[in-house]
Amino acid sequence: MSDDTTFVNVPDLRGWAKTWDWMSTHLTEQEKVHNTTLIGLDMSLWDAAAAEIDKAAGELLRSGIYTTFVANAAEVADGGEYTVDHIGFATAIFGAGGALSAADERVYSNAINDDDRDLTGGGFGAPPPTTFDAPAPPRSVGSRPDAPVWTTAPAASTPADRAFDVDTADAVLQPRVPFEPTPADRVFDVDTTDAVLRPSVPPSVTSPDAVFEARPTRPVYVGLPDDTPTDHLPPVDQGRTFDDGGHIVGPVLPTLERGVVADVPAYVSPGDLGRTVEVDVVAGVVKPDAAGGADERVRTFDDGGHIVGPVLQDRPVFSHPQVDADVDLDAASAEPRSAATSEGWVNRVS
Amino acid sequence: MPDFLAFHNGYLTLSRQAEDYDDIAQKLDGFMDRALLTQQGPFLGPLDESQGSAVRALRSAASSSRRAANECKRRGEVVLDFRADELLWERTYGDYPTTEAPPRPTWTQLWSNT
Repeated sequence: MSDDTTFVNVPDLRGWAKTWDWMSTHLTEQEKVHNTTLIGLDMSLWDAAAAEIDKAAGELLRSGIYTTFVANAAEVADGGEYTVDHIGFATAIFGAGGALSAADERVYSNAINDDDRDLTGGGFGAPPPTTFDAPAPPRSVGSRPDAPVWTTAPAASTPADRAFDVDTADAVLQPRVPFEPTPADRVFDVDTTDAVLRPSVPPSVTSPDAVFEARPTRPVYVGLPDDTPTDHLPPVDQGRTFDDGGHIVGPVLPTLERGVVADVPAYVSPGDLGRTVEVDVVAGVVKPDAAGGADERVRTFDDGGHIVGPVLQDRPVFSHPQVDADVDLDAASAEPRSAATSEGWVNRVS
Repeated sequence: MPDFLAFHNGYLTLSRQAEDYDDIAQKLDGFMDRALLTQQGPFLGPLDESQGSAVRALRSAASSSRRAANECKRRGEVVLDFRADELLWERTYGDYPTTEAPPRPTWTQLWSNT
């Protein structure tokens, strides 16, 4: 067949048009969700996707309008050869002059999904009527030939949650390989369950713990210098320092974490000495489950899932900065805090 | 200020939307492949052009959404780390004399912490 041959499957075209219209509505809803999300996070400047979503939604509706126009024309011809001003209609719909108002979009969306259409009404998609008493309105070259003459009154509104019967046989899917070129001659397995897009369900986090548990961890050996494998590991940071912005730099709690050998900064306690524990590499703390036992009393999380502590409630308090010196950590930890008077801020090990 | 969970939820929402846009783009490719196989006529040209434009817009939207999602994730981590620093400072130096305590952790990000 030559390039001028036209063969259309009207049910196919109508099914695709309905699906594209559904997608267009879906994308419009997603654009709203996108903007609302960013506003709620004070990130409105990151809205680059919104314009693209709107563009895709409009383009899909135009595809549906155009396909319905062709299907209507073919159906009116009833098997015979039909005459359609493809170029004129496409120019009107897809070109700059074919920008659709919100009211137009509703009209066309309704028309796409109108199974009781009146094809002889001289309206959307149908060729100009020839059997009417009144002569067909003149068509000017380059104008929108048929679409503007749609005679059905616009609906008051288009419900966002309207449902369509989707022609699942035509919902052709392809493997989930993003951006892979698609050969034209391949055969697809049709997954009819995916023919309809999933509804937009706002994500939720079931519990703060779930968020915390999802954070990456790393096993870290915690021990005294003498029994700690130090080969190829960074030196122990003895002090708690702050950068110019006042942020804590490096491992904290001087002396108490002395002997910690790890390639991540972590807040640890004497109870962790001699053990290998799981350290949350982002928050820099020992995970509660890994700490276990007596350490649970000093390493807790608030309702928001934020880390509270670690705090050694009974530990002695040292002044800052801490000097480098040997210390009996077991004895120091056993010392009740009540023994540390206001004068007790003096470094116990100096 | 949006807390860690708000940023995390934003990350999930935007990431899921990006996946959605990619899914739709994939389906559109399938539709057009099917159209080119089963239909004939000059009307396919404008239709192919329109579908191609929609696919490009969707992929661009997916890319932009992922960038926004990653920024949400990064900000959430920053908020969490800062909160941990603040709490640790309070626990460690909260009862120190002001002159002996090191500076309190301060918020240095250009975006809001209020």
